[in-house]
Amino acid sequence: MASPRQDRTVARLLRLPPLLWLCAFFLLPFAITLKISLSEPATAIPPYFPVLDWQGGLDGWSSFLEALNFTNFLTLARDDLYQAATLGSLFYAGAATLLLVALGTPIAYALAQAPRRWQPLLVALVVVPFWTSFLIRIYAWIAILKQEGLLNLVLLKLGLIAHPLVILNTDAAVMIGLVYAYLPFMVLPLYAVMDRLDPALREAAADLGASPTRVFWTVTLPLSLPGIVAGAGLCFIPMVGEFVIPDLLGGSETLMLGRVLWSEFFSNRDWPLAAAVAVLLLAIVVGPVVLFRDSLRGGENRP
Amino acid sequence: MASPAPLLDIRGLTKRFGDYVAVDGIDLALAAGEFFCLLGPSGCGKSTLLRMIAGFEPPSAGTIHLAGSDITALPPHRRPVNMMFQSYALFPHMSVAANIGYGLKGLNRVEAGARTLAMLRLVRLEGFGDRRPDTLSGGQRQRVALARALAREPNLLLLDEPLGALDRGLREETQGELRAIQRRLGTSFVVVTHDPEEAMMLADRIGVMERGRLVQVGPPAELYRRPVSRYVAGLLGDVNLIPGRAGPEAGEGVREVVTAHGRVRASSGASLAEGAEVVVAVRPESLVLGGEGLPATVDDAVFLGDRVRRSLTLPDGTVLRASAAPAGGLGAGGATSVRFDPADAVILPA
Repeated sequence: MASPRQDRTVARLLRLPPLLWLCAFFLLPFAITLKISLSEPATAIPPYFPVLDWQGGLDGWSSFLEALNFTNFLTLARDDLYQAATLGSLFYAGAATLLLVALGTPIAYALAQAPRRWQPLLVALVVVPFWTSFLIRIYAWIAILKQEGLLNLVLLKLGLIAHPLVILNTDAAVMIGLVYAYLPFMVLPLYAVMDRLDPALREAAADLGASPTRVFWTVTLPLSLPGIVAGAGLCFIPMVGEFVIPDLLGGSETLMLGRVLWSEFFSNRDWPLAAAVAVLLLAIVVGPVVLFRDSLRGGENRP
Repeated sequence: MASPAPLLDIRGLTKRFGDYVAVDGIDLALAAGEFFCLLGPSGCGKSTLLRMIAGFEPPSAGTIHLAGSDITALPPHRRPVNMMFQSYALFPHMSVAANIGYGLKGLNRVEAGARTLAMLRLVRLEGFGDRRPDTLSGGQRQRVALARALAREPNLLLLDEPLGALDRGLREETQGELRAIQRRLGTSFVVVTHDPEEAMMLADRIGVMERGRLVQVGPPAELYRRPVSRYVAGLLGDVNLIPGRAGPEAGEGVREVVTAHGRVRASSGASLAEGAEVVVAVRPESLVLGGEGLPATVDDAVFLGDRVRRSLTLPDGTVLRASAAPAGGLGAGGATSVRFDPADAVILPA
């Protein structure tokens, strides 16, 4: 028999690997990024100033801290480009999240309502796109959406349009790409919650005279809220920093932080400013994460 | 059957799940205001029958009429029937009052509020309206579920193991309460239960189900005294079974049975061919010791206050239990004889 003290030691040891993982692959890189973002603006390669003098002891630290500056963040705040990119990111991610909720909820509901033996297959169908590279799937959308692409071809053949639609390199294309790419992240957590709802609750509502529509709005949907919040969080957070989709499907006017970050880093070679954009992105994303974690906890308390 | 036009009239109701017949051609008529219990072990089809009446399972065959109109094909939300679920199925995201008022959409706000209050009072939960179901005890939740199911004033209420989730003491208290509410409202209740004692305590009539069929329907006393099978006899209480062969008729509804130790007389319900293998079912309190009867040995006698319980053995090893008022004390053990009034014993197919 293990004593309680031994148990506690084991529990602490078990917590160690994930902590080390977080330190090595999240905290440390973030500290480096943060340091670079607080360096003097410079279009060059590292080292960026100030440099911490490891041999200098306390004095070295204090002179290092004093030399840090917020010039890059001031640039971000003052330049319209970065404000527009921030708002753009929030707008695209927000609008796509709303679309995902509207589209994912009925899909998840249909999955949860499907006969038991079909459900594994249907869930597999939702996940199947992951077997193809993300990049290839987005490139495929170029082939579909471009002027002489698949979609226009079909619409023209059906006589629904007289001239090809311009979709590629517009906001619409970015929306299509975002919704397409993130749909499984919306559907799966929502399905998991809906699938666990006690069917007796829906039956009780119907028994009390509620039509199927009223059952959905008053019982199924409110009780699925934790799943909607989880799905929305899982989609919104990465979409804010999305780079590939706006870059491949969007036009030159599609401003998102991920794209700005990329161009600061690779085109302008302004690492300190790029690092500042990365820190800003993280700050934007941390807000929803905190919200999303709280509502998940709320969801667990419900029976 | 009680009234000429029954409230609930079920004809040939059948439910098949693939090859499995869960409910097999059930005919049942219920009078208005009746308290009916469907009794049987789990998997006997009683819950499926209840779910078909509520509209959650479409029947494979048969019809259900309620107050004269055919409701067989109606979806649950259009049936004037309400159900109390075994798990209570209270909406966790709504207050107690909102739960009870959920089905009152047809009423205006004032009426619905008044009805909700009346229901809270009926189940003695005044002041609990704003609470969430998860802050209530099991017994309180059970009463909210009952109030919610009764709020729409159905003339038929279906209750699936309504007391199954309560602990023993609370269950007995609630049984009485359930009866009192049913009497006061005059609503017909159909209760599904696996607990024979509960069924006897609650019901005006009990329907015993076995493998999808209603094997016997009748008032508790009739089922207890005149069971139609060994299964029903054993379900409703302790019973002695004395094996033998059917003998000749011996008067109005009475037959002789030839046992290993002599002839006995007992009531015969079903028509049995002479010489068929049968058992005579006698309740322990109907066995009388002494006098002219079957030879037996008293192995043990236990004083239980209101009665004395004796364990007897027939010469062929058949064990009998007799229960009697402790008037004559424990009495001596050893050789004796047992007999019974033919009216208190039933001949059943072996």
